[in-house]
Amino acid sequence: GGASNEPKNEAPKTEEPKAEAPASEPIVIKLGHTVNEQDPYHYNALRFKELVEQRTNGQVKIEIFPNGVIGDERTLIEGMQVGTVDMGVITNGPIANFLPEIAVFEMPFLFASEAEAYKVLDGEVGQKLLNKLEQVNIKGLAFTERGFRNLTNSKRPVKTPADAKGLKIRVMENPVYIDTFKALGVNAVPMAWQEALTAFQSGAVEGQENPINVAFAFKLYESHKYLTFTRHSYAPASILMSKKLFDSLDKETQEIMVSVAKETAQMTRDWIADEMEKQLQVLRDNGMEIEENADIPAFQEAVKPVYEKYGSKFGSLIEEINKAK
Amino acid sequence: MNKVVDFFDLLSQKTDWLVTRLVFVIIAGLVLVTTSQVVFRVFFTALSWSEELSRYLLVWGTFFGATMAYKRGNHIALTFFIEAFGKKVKSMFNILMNILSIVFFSFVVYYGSQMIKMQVFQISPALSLPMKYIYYCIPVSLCIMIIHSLAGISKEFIGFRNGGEVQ
Amino acid sequence: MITLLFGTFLVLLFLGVPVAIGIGLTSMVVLMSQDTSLIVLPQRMFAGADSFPLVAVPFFILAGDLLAHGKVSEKLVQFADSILGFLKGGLWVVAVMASMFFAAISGSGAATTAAVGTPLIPELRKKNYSGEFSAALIAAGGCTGVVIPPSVPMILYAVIADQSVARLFLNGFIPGALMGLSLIAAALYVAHKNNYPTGAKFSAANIWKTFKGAVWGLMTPVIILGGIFTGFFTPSEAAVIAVDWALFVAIFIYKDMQWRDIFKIVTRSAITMSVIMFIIATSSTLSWILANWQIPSMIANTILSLSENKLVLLLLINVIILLAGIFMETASALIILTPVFLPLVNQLGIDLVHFGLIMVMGLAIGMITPPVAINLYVASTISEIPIEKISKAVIPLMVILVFVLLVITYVPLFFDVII
Ligand code: NA
Ligand code: NA
Repeated sequence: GGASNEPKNEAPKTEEPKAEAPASEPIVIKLGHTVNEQDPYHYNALRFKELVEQRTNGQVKIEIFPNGVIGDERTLIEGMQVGTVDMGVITNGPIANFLPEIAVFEMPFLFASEAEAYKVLDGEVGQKLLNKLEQVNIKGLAFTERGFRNLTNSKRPVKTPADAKGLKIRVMENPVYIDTFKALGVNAVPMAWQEALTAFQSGAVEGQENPINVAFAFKLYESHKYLTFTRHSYAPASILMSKKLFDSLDKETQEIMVSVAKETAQMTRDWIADEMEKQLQVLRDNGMEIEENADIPAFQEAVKPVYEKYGSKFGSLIEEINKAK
Repeated sequence: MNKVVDFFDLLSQKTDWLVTRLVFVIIAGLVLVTTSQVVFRVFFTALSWSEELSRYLLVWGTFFGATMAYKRGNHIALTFFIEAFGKKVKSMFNILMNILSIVFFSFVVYYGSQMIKMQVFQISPALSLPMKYIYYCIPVSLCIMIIHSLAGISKEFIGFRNGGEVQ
Repeated sequence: MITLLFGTFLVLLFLGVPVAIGIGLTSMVVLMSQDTSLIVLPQRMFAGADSFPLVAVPFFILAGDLLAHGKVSEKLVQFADSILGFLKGGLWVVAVMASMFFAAISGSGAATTAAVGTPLIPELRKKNYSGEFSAALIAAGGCTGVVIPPSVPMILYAVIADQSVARLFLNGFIPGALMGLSLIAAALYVAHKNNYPTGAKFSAANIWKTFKGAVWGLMTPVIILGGIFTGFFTPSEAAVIAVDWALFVAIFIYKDMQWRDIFKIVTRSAITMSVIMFIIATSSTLSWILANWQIPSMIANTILSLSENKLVLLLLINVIILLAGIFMETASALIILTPVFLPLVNQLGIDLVHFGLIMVMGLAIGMITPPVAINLYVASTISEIPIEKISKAVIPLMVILVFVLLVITYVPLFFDVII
């Protein structure tokens, strides 16, 4: 039972009636994500809601829970495994805790462009990994996008790895990222994001690496003056569903879910590309200096040890990806 | 009857002795790890696992510490209502409280084990520890609280027999 | 469902079931009634305790306990008494000022209450100050912990409402100071009414003497604040530095601590910490339930439909925030309610940073409104005074803070003042 109907009509003091659902009662699906309502994930969730409700003639209703109200990404995934959460738009990093191979996408400089990434993610390799999520009771519907990650810092302009040397940079708690930045000579500080936001203000941490939309959403220009287009890693995100729930849907609805997820993922990628120019302008207007021509080959050279260390861990996956690009 | 009481009492005492030492180690570890986190970031290079380890030590300290607080009756409760009654009624309330607590603990222990069973694959991001080991603190500590509850109940029963005085 | 929820909770509380377990049982009953898997219980309990900023809670308790044992806090109080002893209730003034100081270090209410309460409450009692009012005052002072920057709830709000963290922080000083000053006024009034004796006579010689005694203790805030502002450590990490410093002073300066004492203090602090953390853990389950069935938004929308007048709506918003604060922990209430209010607040043309301050202040007051009242639980655990007694003593302070909240709501005079 859910208190999901229009709330203004009735006083909320009565107990919810536990009605036996007639055939026409819509299925209510609760979709959670951990970012705010200006974020691409929310954009994706909204489009997904619209199209699903439209194509199922209102037989499926989607309720969106932004801002992590029903859990952080790790617990959202767990909730989907158990069936206490129905759906989520989730960043690739935490998914790798459940399916280690999917961390392959976090490898530095794996993709040179968005187009390359889409080709691989939407192709055979991507589909294979999405399907593998079923082993952990998750139905992977489609890959959507967080985006290429770039470096920002408060200390100095960064064009080459040598410029980045010694900077205290917040990274995600993820061995590949940590080793990537260690290979660049950076003092890589794994820290929870909220803690990092305070640490930027006091200078306990001097930089971070995230897609432009994150630098924009969190107004990082307040503490960081320098942005470098390092594009060191492309972060996908996934539209996930509880496998338990997916299996309970009829074939037609299942197909709608998958196709709408794929369509809206593409819409989100396009939207991110459109928004990026506007966001960069805002960053510039707020005094950020943007280095668009970083010495990428030098960065690629510097992170080679990361491939030596992790390459074998992913078996033939890296090769498959390179072939599919 | 006395034997049952002695058994639960002894079990409860011994477990608590052990848990007290465990919690000391956990908190000492927490101080050490968080201090190292600052020292290494400022003077050397940042540790990659310290933040995660701190959080998990805190969770372990929380749940095992909670067993110590439970045994000592330190968890916060409203007492003015039951204080209004005589000794016998108060004893009955205490037994009821322990039974209700056991119900809660048992459900969490059961579903906590279910959760662990489903998490055989999940690993923690920084330490690459299997999450199931980290989750064990919940069922284990709540089992310990069940032991303390049983010891509490059996003591109250003895009290009844001896005319309202707890031995 | 709402009736079931509140009914179960109240019955359990009156039966004397510990608050943490009562909240857990209530959540269990509601989940069962909604046919939802009870795996939510262990999962949310774990997630509730699994947070790095919360690490500051055990550390501040431990640091306070270590300082108290090493007589450091006693010496600090003597020093404070030498300055403010001429006032009736002077040590209460010190307690509130200490709360405001720690608020500038920590980002949470529980940590602030723990940091000030652990060393000060025993000392206040030694000086014959009312234990109940002292505990209530320090719990209320702890509310400034999230209003004076840094503040975890302000960061959450900034992200959800797309506002500047820096601007929120900057504008938090004045409301925080106003809360502190009104609490000081209340404490002085109570002390005068009950004719508290004055302390040490004001004399420069005595100030110098007690200052020398307290100098090692006084270094604690200097080191902590210095470390944060120079970027050596984050506010959450500052708490562990306080522990290290307290240990250093006890072992190497005063040399009065044995291995046995350390063991005793650490385990005692662990118990205090876990009482608070266990409530946070089970409350996290309840918050999940409220969010999942969108109960706060439902209630909020019903209340907001009562009027269209801007001034009335502002009052209603305050009422909703205070109501939410009664039953929910700050962060959960904030992330659930902010999106509900934003469209309306935009429509009313209220500055979103100003509104953020209203939200954070209102929910901060929730930290002293039972049954979910983390600061009161911290104060009760530290002082070993029953929660119902502290709850009663805190009522007038709560009223005063609500008054300050209304002032901030309707008089945005203090806005964007550069400090
Ligand atoms: Na603060
Ligand atoms: Na409250």
